[in-house]
Amino acid sequence: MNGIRRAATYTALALFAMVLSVAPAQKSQYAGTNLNFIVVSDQFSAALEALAPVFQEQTGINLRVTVLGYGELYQRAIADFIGHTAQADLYSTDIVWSCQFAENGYLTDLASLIKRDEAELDLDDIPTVMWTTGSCGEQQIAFPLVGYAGVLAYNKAAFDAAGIAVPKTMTELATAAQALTKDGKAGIVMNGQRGTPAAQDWMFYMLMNGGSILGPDGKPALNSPINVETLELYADLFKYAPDGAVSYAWGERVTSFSEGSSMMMVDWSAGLDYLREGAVPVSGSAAITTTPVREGLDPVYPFGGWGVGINADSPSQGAAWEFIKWLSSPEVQKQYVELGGKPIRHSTLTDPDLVAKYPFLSTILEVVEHGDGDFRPRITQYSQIEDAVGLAVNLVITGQESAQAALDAAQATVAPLFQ
Amino acid sequence: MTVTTRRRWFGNALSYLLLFLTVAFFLLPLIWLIGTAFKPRLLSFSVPPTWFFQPVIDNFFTIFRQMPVLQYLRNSVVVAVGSTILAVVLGVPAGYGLARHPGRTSNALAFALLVIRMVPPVAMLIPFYLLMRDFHLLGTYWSLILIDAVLNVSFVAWFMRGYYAGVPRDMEEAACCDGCTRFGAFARVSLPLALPGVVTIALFSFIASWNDFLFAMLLTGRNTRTLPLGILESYRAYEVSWNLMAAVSLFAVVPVILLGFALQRYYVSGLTMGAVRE
Amino acid sequence: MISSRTTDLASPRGNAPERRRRFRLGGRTGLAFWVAPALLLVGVFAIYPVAYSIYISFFKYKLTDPTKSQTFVGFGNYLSALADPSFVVAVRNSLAFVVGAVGVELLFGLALAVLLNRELPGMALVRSILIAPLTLTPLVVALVWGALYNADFGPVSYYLKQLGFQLGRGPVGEPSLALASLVVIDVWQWTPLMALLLFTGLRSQPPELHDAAQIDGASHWQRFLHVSLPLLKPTILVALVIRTMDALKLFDSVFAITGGGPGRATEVVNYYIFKVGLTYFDIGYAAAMSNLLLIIIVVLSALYLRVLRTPGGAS
Repeated sequence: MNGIRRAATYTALALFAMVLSVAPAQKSQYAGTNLNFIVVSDQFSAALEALAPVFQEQTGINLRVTVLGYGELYQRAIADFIGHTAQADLYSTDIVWSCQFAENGYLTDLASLIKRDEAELDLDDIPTVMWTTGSCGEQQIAFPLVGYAGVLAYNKAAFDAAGIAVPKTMTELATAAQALTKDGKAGIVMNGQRGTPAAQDWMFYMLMNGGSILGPDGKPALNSPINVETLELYADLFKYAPDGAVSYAWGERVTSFSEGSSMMMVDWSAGLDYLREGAVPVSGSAAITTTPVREGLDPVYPFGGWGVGINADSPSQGAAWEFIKWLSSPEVQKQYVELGGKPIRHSTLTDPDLVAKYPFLSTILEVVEHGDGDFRPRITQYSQIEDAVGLAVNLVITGQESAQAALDAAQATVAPLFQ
Repeated sequence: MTVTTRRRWFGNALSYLLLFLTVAFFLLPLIWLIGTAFKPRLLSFSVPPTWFFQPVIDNFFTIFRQMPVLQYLRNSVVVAVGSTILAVVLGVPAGYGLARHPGRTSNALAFALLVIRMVPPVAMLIPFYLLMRDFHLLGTYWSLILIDAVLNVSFVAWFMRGYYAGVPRDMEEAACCDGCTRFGAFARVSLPLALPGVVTIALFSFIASWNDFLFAMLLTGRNTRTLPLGILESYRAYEVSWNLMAAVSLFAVVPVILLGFALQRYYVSGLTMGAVRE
Repeated sequence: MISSRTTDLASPRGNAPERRRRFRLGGRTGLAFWVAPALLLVGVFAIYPVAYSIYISFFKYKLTDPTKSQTFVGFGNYLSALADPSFVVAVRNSLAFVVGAVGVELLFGLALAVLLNRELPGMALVRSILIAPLTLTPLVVALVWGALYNADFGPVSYYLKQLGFQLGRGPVGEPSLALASLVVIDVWQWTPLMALLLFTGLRSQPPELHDAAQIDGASHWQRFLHVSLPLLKPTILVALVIRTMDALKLFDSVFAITGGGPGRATEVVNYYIFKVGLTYFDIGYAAAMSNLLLIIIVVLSALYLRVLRTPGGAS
């Protein structure tokens, strides 16, 4: 089944390439250049690997895509920047690295290039929140590569069978989780593993409940009353989660939902494999919707994603920028979605053919229109904040500390970093 | 039956039972790994676990599509063999020298070499990365070969020192009455005598180098990525594909197990000499 | 080096004592000849990283700091480490882990070695099978056991629950169980090394001593305690040094399974250093902690060597 789908995709790709090359195939002025692109191993990377030969066909620029895991990517990138070794011309950059990379000048500031080519880029077609994937103040050090919507994935069949409506508020979420925890199934599943997994997942709920990492003065306020409340709520939800959830990372969380062991989870729209027919046991029963919001608050949804940046040390600045423009063009964006990527353009998200085939695009659109890309502060100190939060969350869900004490300790760890 | 015979029979039966349990303990996870590599994705998580199933080889097709597994295998072989050769060629004579010149200097040197191996690898990572940059060796096989050789040569020297301490000098001296040089005596007599030890420590060096992923993460380039990195790659944090990870792991695991089996007779006697004499 | 060679060639064939004297005439020059290449390799490629690590430990330096400032703080980093609750807990966990893991491996390995020493058919096969865990990539071992331990769909948890054990949040989810679960993984991978080392030690013991003891009427157990064990001391020493050194550098299972959790239960020094050095890129502080860990390892090894070195026990 998978093989046939792949064959069909590649055939489509080949036809697409042929069509594009029938149009005046102006090889780029940079034809013959070699570009190295290091990408994180999220699902969209497969799309980039598939598009590389098409790009070469069109422009004569040889794009080599290397796919690395998150940790490895980060360490390699920093080592590359520090050592000025120019191992890659293009890097996928996580949204939260934006200011750290900007302040250090690791990547070329694209702001002037964007201004120069704005007609070609049709900037109005790119939703505002997409730019957070690479902006820091006035600088834009990465161009939107993929936008992730934080969504609520749920087992529609289970909800229908139990006669429960899809939760829209935090209270409804807790009620639904409780109601669906029966017959050996868990109502909801979250990441509990200490560190980034727990921190990331909890921060979804923090946004959903109206909390924030930073206070109005831009300094951390981890132990604000709302955050403490959210952490208590989160810990409470573990009653309705699988036993081992306290040590789950994304892999186990997604598996638990995909196998039909858990009925709900808040997830990024990165893969959405469980919506693909026949992929996993829960395909066909699963659906996504926007995340619940605390009663009385205006809807704000989690937004994340990756940008693509040009290594400041790269000798091929022009060719790299050409690739970025090519990838973000509407025609390529459409193909990108077909190959598993998630689009950055409004027009792509509303394209009738695509929406018919991938109904989840409308959910993503809604999230993007009310998305907050800053709920995880994109500042230099982010990894240490995340780590402190990750420890606090884990301590509370394993019953070792109260939410107030844990967040107070986290706040104490993090405060000195902001002097 | 006499009392002693019955006791011996009982003792043997007990021994076999304990051995069986022990072997089962050590083998089962390995069997799980091999089995998972041949399971379709849906089965890798079944509760209760499935021990009997129809094996499939799709996972191997998938991983070959996702990453150049054979290239990773080749790279792992090049790095492991290269660093082992370097470590052995430099370390065995060093160990011999240390054994044949006992004394304070020799003890101090031996301990100093051992200390290199005690250093937490994280401490050496960034400085070594910068060093390799300055030598223009980043992304080549040499960067990994060098760091692995450095870490292994100390262990080789330390181990061979213990080994040679237990090898009598008479045969070397006998060889020298035929007018050979010190080095000749070493090459012609001492080295062959120590073959089990050399093979043992070479095997351990090979394994250490083969399994490294911390240094490989920073020092390899597009074309020199090794198998442990492939395993990390297949363990995509997002949708963990245990079956794919198991399939890639087999490439990392099976060659070394086979190598170990093949060299089995060497390292048992090799461990004798190296271990008893300190 | 040349001098010792010409001495050898130039001298007439004398009797043995003269030749032996000539061997020692090489003295320190001879030693230098043998170790020079190895020392050269280590000197060029290891001394710089180690020296840099020591140097930078006296500075406050973050690689990702835009200002790239290196502030000299003397022993500041070391003092911060000793006051850092994370570091202190990590050291405690690491030591607890070493005691647990190495202790169990020693006992289990000893028992296994004794078992293997009994001449029963099939032992060679068992020994071949036993080295399998040793050859595996520690990272793979960690990932495999992580899957086996999964509280909800891991076989180990499943069967333990069938046997009636209450696992709560799972072997790696319960704070009280987590470190022990990691010890089990270490025991699984490295006991064969202990067993093989000790087995070869037992094998090489001269049978005369055992026979003498038997003639004197000693029982199996007494023979073991008073003959086998003392003779095994050098082997045990080697095994302990190797395993302690490596157990203190535990990393893969924490990295792959627990991330230091639940809470701080499995936070170990090497993992904390990795986090500080390669995620925060605070390399001054990481270097200081590495040096502290190194000191701990060196001290422990030296202690073993002193305590277990028996006069006449070694060669």
